[in-house]
Amino acid sequence: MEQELIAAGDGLADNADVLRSVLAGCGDCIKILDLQGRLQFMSEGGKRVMEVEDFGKLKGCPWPDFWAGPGHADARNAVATAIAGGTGRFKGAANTAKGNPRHWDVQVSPIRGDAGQVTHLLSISRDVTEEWRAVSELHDALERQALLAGELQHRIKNTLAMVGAIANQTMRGDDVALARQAFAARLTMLSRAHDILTQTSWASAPIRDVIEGALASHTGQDRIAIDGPDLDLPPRQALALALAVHELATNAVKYGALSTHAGRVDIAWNNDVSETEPRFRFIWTESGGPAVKEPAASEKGFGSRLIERMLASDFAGEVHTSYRPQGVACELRAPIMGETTASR
Amino acid sequence: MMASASSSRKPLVLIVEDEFLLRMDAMQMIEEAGFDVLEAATADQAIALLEQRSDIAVIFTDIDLPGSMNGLKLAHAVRDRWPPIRIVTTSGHFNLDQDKLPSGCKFIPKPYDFRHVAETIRDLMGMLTAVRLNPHMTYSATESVAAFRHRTA
Repeated sequence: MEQELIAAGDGLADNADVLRSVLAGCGDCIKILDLQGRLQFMSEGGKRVMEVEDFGKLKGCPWPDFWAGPGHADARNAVATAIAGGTGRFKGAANTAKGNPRHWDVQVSPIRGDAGQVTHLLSISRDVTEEWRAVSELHDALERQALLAGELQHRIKNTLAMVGAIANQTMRGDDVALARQAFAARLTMLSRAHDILTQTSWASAPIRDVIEGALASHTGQDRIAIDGPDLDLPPRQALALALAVHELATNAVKYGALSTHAGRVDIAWNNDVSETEPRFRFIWTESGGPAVKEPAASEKGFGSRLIERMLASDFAGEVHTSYRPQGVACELRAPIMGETTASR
Repeated sequence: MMASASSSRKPLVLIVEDEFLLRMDAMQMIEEAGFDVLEAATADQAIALLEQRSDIAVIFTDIDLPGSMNGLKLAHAVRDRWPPIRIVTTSGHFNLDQDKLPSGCKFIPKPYDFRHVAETIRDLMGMLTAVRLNPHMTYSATESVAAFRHRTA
């Protein structure tokens, strides 16, 4: 190094100011320890990054004691390695003198006297807190991503299973064209219900949006009146109601009030608190259509089962369908549903 | 849609699935495959049915059930309390650790083909019948299924 300094310019070799400038300018914490591992010297730059105002208080303290946890043993080992003539390296966490947590990349190496014997130790600690933070944030992000991917995978599998069940139930009978049409309509409705739920990250869905979504592809919407307070449905109930409303509307368009120009449908819901036990009520009422007669049990298909059994099951309530001559009425009574918190 | 198991001699399958659509579909498909069926939406309902009746031969349960007891715990409870009952489990979770299932328990990933489900149930029933006929003899799955089909033909 001597030769390189001479070559670099006059007055550099054997100039103590070179060393002083290096120690003051370097952002690493450069320390000299005695062979007992006690702090004897700290560079100006080191006092800055370690936030040391009075080195006098630290001088003579065992350096490994500044490290907590596994860093303590690492520091002792690094000191032992340097005393033996090697270079000890480790990464660890230690607070600054003011108590601020930092992560350090540390190297401890021997300083030799004229005879080549180790007389002191040089410890250089580099502040790697930013890198450490970036790596741990990346690690957290990857973990979150893996969790979300697993959740998404589960949801997709479940949705595929639901589509499979709908296909199974729709593709019965010999009329393939009719079944295909019914299947496509059910998928569209399921997709729309998913859209509404996705807007709230599958937390809940406003009941009005669910009903309007389920009616969107049906004709005669100008003759459907929707009336009820703003309520938020949990995902399961939202999907069940969407499916049921879709089936009710399909039946109304095919055979019921919406099959003629005169008929109409009234959809209403509320949380009925007039009784001792408050109940959620949802009522679908058809009127003005062709005269209704109750279908035989054998004529009740997948749609009817969805309306009656799925609603009852998923709302933990009862569903009653009455085939009144003036129009079909379907009523769901179930435990109360949550009032919406969002203002609309 | 609870089938009257007492009036027939078809094996009775208890279907445990919280998703209504999947439960209804499974009920119908497994019934059409030649079994009697019972349904439960939760593990608690399933346990209640198991405690009430002694004619349940097979339980077909989803692993991902809501509430304090999931399908995995249910499968272990059935293995412990009703050892003769055969267990078939299903889940949409691709990374399910099948080692956590009780021994002799079958797993079918979702979405499933009902022919596969029915076949699996028949396999399990076949093994059970064979073991009961002669507990000292060991049967391979194929042999026992063939034997079962022969006896039930």
